[in-house]
Amino acid sequence: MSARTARDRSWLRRPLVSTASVAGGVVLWWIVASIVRDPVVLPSPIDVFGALVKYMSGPYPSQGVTLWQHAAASLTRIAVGFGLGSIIGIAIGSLMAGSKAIRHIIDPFIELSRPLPPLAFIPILIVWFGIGEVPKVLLILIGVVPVMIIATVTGLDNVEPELIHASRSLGGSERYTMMHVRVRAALPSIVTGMRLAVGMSWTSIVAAEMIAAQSGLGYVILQAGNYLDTSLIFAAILVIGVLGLLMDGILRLVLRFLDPAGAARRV
Amino acid sequence: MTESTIGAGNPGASDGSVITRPARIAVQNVTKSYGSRRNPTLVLDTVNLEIAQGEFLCLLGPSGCGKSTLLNIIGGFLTPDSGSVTIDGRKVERPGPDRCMIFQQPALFGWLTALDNVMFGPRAQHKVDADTRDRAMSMLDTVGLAGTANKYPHQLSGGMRQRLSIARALINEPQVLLMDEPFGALDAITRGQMQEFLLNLWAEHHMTVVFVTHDVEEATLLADRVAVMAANPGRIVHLDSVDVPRPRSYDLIDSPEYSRVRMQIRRTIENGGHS
Repeated sequence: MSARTARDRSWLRRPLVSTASVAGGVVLWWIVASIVRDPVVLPSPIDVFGALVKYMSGPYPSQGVTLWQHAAASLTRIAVGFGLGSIIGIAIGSLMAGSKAIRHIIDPFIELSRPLPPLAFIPILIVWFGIGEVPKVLLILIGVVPVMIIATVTGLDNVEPELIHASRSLGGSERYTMMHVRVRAALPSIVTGMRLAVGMSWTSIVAAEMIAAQSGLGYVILQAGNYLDTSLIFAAILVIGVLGLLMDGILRLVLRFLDPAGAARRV
Repeated sequence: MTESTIGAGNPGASDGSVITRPARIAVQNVTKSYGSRRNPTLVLDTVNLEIAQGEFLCLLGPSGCGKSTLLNIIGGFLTPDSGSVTIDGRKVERPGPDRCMIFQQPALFGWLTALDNVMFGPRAQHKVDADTRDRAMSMLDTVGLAGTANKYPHQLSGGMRQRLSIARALINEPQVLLMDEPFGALDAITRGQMQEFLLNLWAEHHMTVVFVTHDVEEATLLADRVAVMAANPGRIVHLDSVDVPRPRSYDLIDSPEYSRVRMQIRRTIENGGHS
């Protein structure tokens, strides 16, 4: 019980402390900006907010597209790449958890690819697929798939054998137990993997858009850099941050729904 | 105290029972080894045991004597290297809902409410009909959890969780209840309450129970017969009837009869199985 009250209290406190810390960061930024006094080097929070409001409705000069439309372009790529990557990763991970042979065949490739930065693949993807949407989505896949495979395999491996025994002993067939107990019990771990993969998708997509793109937040950042429009760079970074937080927040809600006991407290 | 004979249990008297019919368990020449083929460890060495219909039998012994292994073989979770287990003459080959296993950890499904945990068995067997829900509710009532149908396992206390796992097993109307130190993780007071709960449940339904424990007191309180096991290799060294009349209760734990039975069993264990 004491653990629970401590948790309840931390729930009360957390938003307060976090809000204060964000406000403190903004104030610090403001102070440094007013010392620097050069909006090209470091725009103040107000400059950035101004750029955000301006380009939200008004189009960015060079392409006639608003900031939100660029954000939508990036989001679409991420939705496709992240969604597809999650499905592929979960499928391969389930096969690996189900069969030793498949695991031994695929495992070396996962281990090999893990330390590789997805960005290293950009040149080769451009050579193979040009500068359309395909290489950008593929780049996200390269980042997302291994993360999802690992999350799925560990999730399925770590399901307590007692749960599987209990299901079998209660009359569940092997297939029923696989679907309704093993996969179900692994879902929180899989969703946690998706949280990591979302962050990875944003890293990859922004980098891809900086190299070969006519749209997207990465493209905006690069263009704004070329025109020394530092406020817009910060505004675009802010949009990426907020979108990333939003996606993570959705996944956290899903996680709480899937795992009413909380991942740390298993029964 | 006497060496017991087969059928010394407590069959009959099953009015108002949710259990269809208690089963007779026969363990014949069961041998089991673990470890590599070159260097195997003999965990069970030609174990023979007959458990009568409706009997409450305790497997008692120190850790490493193979009592959980034997229970898992009866449950169908492990296959013996040689020998066989039959239940009412049918050979045990895989786990099944007719002999439900209760573990030390309640192994509840944390994402299901108490009611849905109880409904798991019928759903898994695709046997849900109009009154399954009512039956599940009455199972919860049987184990004293009527008010917690919509709670999740992590919202229940340790004793409540274990009662829930028993309710989840009972809805399948098992002929055999296999319990692997089910109260071992509970505090002393809750354990006493759960032992009385189990005694009442068994008095009402008379299913065949095989109960693994290393606690002499627990074994003598609950069992019709106690099978004392020893390690290296795991084997049954002694079978004792507990000649204490029923109904029993935790209050009687300090009575002279109990003390005598406990002393006898302790001496048996200390002498390595020679009474």
